[in-house]
Amino acid sequence: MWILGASAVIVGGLELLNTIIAAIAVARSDSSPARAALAILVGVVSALLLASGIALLVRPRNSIGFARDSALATLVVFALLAALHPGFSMASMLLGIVFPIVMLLVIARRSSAQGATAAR
Amino acid sequence: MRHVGMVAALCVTASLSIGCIDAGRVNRECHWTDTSSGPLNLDRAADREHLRQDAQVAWEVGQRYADVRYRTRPQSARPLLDACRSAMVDSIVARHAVTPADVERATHARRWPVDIITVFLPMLVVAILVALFATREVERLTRHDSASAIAQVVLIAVVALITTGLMQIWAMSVETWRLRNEHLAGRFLVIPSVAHPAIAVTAMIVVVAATLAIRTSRRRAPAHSIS
Repeated sequence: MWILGASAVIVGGLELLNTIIAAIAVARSDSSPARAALAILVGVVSALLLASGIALLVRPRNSIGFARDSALATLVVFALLAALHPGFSMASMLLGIVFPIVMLLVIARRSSAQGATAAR
Repeated sequence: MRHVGMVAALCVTASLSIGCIDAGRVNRECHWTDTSSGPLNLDRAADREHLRQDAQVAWEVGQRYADVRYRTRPQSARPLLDACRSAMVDSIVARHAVTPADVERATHARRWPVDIITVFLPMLVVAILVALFATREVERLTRHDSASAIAQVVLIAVVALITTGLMQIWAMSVETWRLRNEHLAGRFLVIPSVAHPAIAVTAMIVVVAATLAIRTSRRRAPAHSIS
């Protein structure tokens, strides 16, 4: 689980950094409040992903639920962003969609494997 | 699987080779180049296509001219961009006896067969595959043969959103390749799916819902035939 945690820290950190840079650019230009709200929302889910990565590294057993919820929130927000207002860089949006899917699959498969082991 | 790979390879090859900008005409000095001149008859498809290419080059030359100086500062770049583009439009108007409104329309014109082959058809296939994969995963994880109605609605919404997002990213990547410039700037608003996101999302919802409905009906069919 530490590989997933480390990856979440890296991806969450990169997305947060990218969002801060984008937010500064939005603040400099005469952008709409909707764009600013979107930047804040993306920043929040990126911070959640970063926090879930740290939680997975520190307490892997107790943070599965938090990591799953964070991945789902990140996936929905980045999918919304890419679908309705693709203003971020393509790499950032692709990473924001693909990584949470991988994270959800890894968590789900691990949970089902643990469930099957417990049932035996 | 082999056929899917071949079709995917064909689509990628088509995306990378059809509808690219004439690289010999773009520059960073706001310099207009065109081998042909003379009035255009916009009732003819060939002339409309010529004007579309001219408008695309005018947009791109203006963008590159401004990017050399203020790539990350859109507000500072705006005067340079506007000055260069209006000079380009003036050249087109003078050479081809068209109006600035014609050039504006040509800027937003698309080659629909190219967009359908390179963007919409591949993403239709991706949407169907993602929908089937997601349903199978949900059924496997919940250990049910079919997901509940609420779960299916949520699944359709999430999968449609994800595939629309992937479609936008793919469409922007293809446009980047066609323009030979990774800085799309305002040009991404000319991409049909980006310009009409509500239609794109609705279309994806229909595709994903239809895929799941066909899958469900196929799975139920043997049970009916037994009874």
